[in-house]
Amino acid sequence: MGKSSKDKRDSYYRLAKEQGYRARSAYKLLQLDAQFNLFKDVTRVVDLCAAPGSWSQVLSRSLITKGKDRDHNVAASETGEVQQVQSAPKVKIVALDLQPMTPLPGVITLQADITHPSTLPLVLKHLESDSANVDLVVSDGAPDVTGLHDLDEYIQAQLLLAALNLATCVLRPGGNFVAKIFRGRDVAELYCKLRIFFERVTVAKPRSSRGSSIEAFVVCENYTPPKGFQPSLENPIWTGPTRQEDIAGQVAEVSLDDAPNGRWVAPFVACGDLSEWDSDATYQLPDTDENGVKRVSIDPIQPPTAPPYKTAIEMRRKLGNGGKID
Amino acid sequence: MKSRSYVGPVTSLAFLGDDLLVGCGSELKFFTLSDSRYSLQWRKRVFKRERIQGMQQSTHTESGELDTSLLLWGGKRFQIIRLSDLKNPNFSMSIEEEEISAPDWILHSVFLESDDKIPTIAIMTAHNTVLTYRHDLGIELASRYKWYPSPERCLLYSATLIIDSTSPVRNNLIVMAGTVFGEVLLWKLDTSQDKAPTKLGLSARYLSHEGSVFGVAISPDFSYAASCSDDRTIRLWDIRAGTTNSEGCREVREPLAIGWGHQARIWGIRFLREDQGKVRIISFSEDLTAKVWSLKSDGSKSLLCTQTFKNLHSASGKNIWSLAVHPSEWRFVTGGADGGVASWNMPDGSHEDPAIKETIANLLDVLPSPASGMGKPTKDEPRKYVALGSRSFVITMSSGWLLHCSLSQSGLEWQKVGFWPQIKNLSAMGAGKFMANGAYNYITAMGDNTGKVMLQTWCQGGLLTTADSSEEDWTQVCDSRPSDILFSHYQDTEDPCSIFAAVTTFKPDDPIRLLRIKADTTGNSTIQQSWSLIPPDTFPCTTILVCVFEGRILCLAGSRHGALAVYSITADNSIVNPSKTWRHVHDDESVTSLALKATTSLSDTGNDPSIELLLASTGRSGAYKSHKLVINATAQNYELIETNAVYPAAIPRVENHRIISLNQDEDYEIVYGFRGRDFVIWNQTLGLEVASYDCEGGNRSWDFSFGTDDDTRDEGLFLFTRSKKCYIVEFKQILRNPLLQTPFHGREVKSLAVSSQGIIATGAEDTIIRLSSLNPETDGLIPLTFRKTHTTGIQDLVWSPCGGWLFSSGSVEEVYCWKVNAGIKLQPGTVGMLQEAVYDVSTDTLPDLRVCGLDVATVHADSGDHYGFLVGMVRSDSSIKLALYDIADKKFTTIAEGFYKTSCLLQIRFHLTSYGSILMLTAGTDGHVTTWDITEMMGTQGITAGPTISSGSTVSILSLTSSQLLTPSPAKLSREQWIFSQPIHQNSIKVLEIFDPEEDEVLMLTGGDDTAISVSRVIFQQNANQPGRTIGGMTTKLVERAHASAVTAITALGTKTSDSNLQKQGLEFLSSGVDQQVKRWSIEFSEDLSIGSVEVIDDLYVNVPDVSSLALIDRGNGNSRIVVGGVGVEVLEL
Repeated sequence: MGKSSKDKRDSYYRLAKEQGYRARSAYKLLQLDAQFNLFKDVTRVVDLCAAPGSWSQVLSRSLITKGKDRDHNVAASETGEVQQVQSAPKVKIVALDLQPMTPLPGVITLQADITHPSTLPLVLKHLESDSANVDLVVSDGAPDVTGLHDLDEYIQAQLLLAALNLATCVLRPGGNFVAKIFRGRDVAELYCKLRIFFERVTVAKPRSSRGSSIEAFVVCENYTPPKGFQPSLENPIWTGPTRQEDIAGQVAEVSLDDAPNGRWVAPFVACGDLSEWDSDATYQLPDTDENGVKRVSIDPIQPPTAPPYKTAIEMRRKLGNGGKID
Repeated sequence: MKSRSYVGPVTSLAFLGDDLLVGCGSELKFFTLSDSRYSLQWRKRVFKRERIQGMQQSTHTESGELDTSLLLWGGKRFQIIRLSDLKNPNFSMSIEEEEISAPDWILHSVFLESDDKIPTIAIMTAHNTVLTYRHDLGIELASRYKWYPSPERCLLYSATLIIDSTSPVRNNLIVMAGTVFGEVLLWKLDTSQDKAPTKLGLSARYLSHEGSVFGVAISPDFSYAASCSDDRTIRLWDIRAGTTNSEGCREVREPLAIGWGHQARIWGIRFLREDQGKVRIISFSEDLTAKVWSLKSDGSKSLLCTQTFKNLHSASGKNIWSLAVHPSEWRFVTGGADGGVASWNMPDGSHEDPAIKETIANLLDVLPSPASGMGKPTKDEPRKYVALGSRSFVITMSSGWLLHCSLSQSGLEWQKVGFWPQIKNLSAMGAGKFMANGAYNYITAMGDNTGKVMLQTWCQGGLLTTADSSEEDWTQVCDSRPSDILFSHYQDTEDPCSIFAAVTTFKPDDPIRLLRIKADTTGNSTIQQSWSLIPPDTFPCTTILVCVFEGRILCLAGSRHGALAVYSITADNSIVNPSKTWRHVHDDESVTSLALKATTSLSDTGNDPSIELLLASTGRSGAYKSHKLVINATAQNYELIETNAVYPAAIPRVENHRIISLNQDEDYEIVYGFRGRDFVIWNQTLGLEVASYDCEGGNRSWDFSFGTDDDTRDEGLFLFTRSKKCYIVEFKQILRNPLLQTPFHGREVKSLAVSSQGIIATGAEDTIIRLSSLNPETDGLIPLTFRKTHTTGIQDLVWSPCGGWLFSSGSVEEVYCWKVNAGIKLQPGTVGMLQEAVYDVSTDTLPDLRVCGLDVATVHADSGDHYGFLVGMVRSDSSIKLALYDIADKKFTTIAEGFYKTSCLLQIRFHLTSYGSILMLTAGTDGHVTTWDITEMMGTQGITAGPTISSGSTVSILSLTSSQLLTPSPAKLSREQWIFSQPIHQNSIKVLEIFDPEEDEVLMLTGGDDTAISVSRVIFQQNANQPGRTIGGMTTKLVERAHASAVTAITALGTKTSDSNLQKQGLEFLSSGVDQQVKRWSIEFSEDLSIGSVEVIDDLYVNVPDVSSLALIDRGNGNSRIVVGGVGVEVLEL
């Protein structure tokens, strides 16, 4: 999981730039949808940890935009040239992140903490709903990894469980939940917990996700909470005790009929066709495109958010001495 | 299966007085200090799965005996253990029963004061929540906890709990927390009340970090707080600053001071004692440094970094994960991602650094005043230095004065040795040493610009005779101005007063004048004999080594252009021609030193006596090399074989080296030279920097000498001129070994392979290849040697079947061939590793072209001699390259190339059939296994499947039918050669192993990213319609969800007996993956040999995240070991 020395500019990076996506991760959701038909009959979606917004872009383009040349149309509209977006009236997409996000057509972007109890009424308000009737909750959130695998996997699991808690508050019975997961040493415990809420839990690896990466996506279908379950952001489950009475449940393992020790391995599906780009492969691109035009480097659509060490770099530059301070 | 040894990240450290506790994986290690060296007393596994992330101690008296209780935590688990129990060798603990489960991830924990003997602790969780726990085993687990409300539930990266000793209330906690969003929170909690409060508020919120907060600390007097972050800063806070808002919380946006300087994320900080009223902090980081900071007193709001400890443990990888300060605060220890633990001296204002001392000498005070009429001191400056051991030296001055200086506790003692007008125009100076009366004395030689030389004899205290400064001191040695006087540092034990020196001139064709000097302890050393050595073409001599053995004198000379020449010297001939010259021994760079390590007579009897000299040399190429010089005396035949080459990355310009005995068993190879502006001393044996000193580079007048006597061998003296001043730098503790625990790879192991001799090669993301062996008693890894030559993370490593060569691959098309020279006994320093060849990369290299997989097959020439290897390479652009490696020419030649499809290839294996077909299996990210029949194509290059040689194990050999390749250009690999391409996995095939009990019926095992394992029987046979072509088929049994995540490693254990009847025996294999489980599987075969059941028969968790590889070390007698590589290495017993 440590940062690899691999060149990050793979085929999907280039493709994302060409098709106007804010990040290459857009293709992961597209390939997941192609496999699981996630967007079928979906009108209400919540996108968690959405920044910079490539999944919201996919949702917006897939659920709202109609038209012959939709890719071109939306790409243009995002850059502000074409304002006219033909949207299906009923579709609601709410995107949440702690970081500010550049607006997207047809997407309600909210800057909010997904674990905070006040976020739920905010989301419901924007969905113009007072009940849980969301069809799909998606989350592509991941922490900046430290290199301590157990800690990184714990933090990622907490992000996923926070997303699950919000999902249990907004999903309609039968709704679906898709989230990024790190397939580390305790992943079977997470699968088991998800299985308690969903009829079908599958782990999927889109071809656009690198084989060398620990990431995969859990696709949880048909939300069927256990009888008597009370969803709550005040007392979320499995994210540390919020009351004395939570302790017993959190020091013990969860269990299922077919996983008495709380560990269950979800079936695996690789998605995306073999004919699509392989994110692990190195491609020899011709210098010119099919029209004989010389390829030029395209700037990223959405520059990456400022890294936390931005000021440190500026300080170093100011001090000179080849960046050495001491 | 059972774990035997572990090396991996050190995540926690704590001092217990002078003793040290080290948390390494799930293991707790206890080191005690004696004779200023730490030694490991015991190690115990304390958790089932967790790493020890932190520890606390509390002392208590029990029945009159003082004892310490330890609180250890990691993940959602903790342990409370008495140290006396751990120290007891008979104590056994059941981890499963005793480790305690917490309801959330633990970031910090402390012992609370308790009324009874039952330990009570407070736990801080990653959700900013405190729980107390009373270790009363009589009640059920959940009831032992008491939950307290959180003032603000948020996700934290760091926290610290402190019992407020200033509070009148017992067990009043101060809580400091660092959040994932860059906030630092302070709150207080009274745990003494029976009833938990219903609501708690924050005391303060410190804002301004621009990234996650990874470490927080509170000063011992509760006045300051400090935090460190993803944003590469340390921020110091006045804990009481700010004004309270309506909720009683202070919001502080201005830190007291900020510390800039770390180049990467900062993982932790500790407060040190204040020094002269200044706040001091120590920090440790991802950038492999620890830094000491002190608050500037000028009110500038910045923390000044007063000291940086660089390249801790090893100069590669990343992350110092843990640090503990000794109670005295003169020392601290660090623990790294590389598994290394090291102890460092921490001098402060009142304690100077014991390892290095700099003195700047003002020579004007030493020299005669202008009134004496000799020289003009105001214009005088030091010219040449000669260090006589580590405590005295000689300087020549531009005025013609010769000065001697002794270093002692009281300071510098200068002597004006004498004045010679020749010294004004001195062109060369050198020094040698000789043993007399149990101590070393020195001889210096100076050459003036007329070719005259003056010899002087010294002891540490000064010149042995009084100088009378006469013209007769100078002897004509050569016809023109000498350029250098080079002493040979070889000591003839039988004639210790015989010293050799060579005088070179500025004229390229002038002979090298070799002098035999008779050293004289009364001070009258004389030139006894001299020879003219005729230099080879373009051979400016830079160093010499003269060896005397069995009445022969052998002189080796090194040149400025990397060449070596050997002269055989006899008493009769005064003009000697070189017997042999070797070019490019040190590329095209100066040979800076030559030394003799050992002499062996290969055969004393018989007609063909030969002698073997083991030599070491250094060069400006940056290399430290070992050679074997084999001399056949009768035939006058000389053969030079390079046996080892090291390029210490820390010293690009190597000047010299010395092997210094630490004690009877241990030698250290110390190398010194320059890196940029720094003079650097490097311990090659330990692989770490001893010391460095900024002298503004090596292109100036300088000299260095190690101490020569027993009591100074730990010292070095470095002299140089800066701004006409003489700088004297004394290095002490050169042999100090700061390592308590030897470091391993700094980042995750990507490939692991075991040679037929049992050498474990590991290649990691830190770009390093390491060779190790297993300690037969402890099963710990013994580091043999390492190379940092690849510029990218290692992708794959494969040994030649004979174990003599290692092939390695990386990104940007890097493929290297290494010759590994190992003796019978595998010990550090006895294993040579030479980079023999680099596979030629295409001119138009793709920036991210990884060579993901390698395989190697042995090739013999038609004479039956070993020719080399067939090397198969599969790459990320779907290309396959087959190359022939010639061991004589040390050269790769591409013999075939082509593409599979466009998807990334990961695996390649060669296979030879009984009927002479050469087959190849490839696999990649598309989940297919493809078999290729390359017999015909190889035939066009003159390569055929040769005989199978059975010598213990079966080795398949290819034969090269002619002495050279038949076609000069590579053949094409194409789809036509496919036998079949079978989809097995859904995506990446992470591992492919073939096991061939019978050559035409192969058992193939694969593991995939899709968590599945496949077991296939692959059968090959000749095509009846197309003789010479192979057809094949396979039956596969797929075990889905074999692991919880990607399967990355598989190794076959083979049948239980030598009976190759699979049906009777079945087969066992091991698998592992990212879920960190190692599973042992058993395959049963049915009567028709189809695969029956495939079942897990054993399952073990290993503390190695990102498992990439497994290897079997078969030591016979069922005494096999399994080596598991990933983030660290664990060795298992089967």
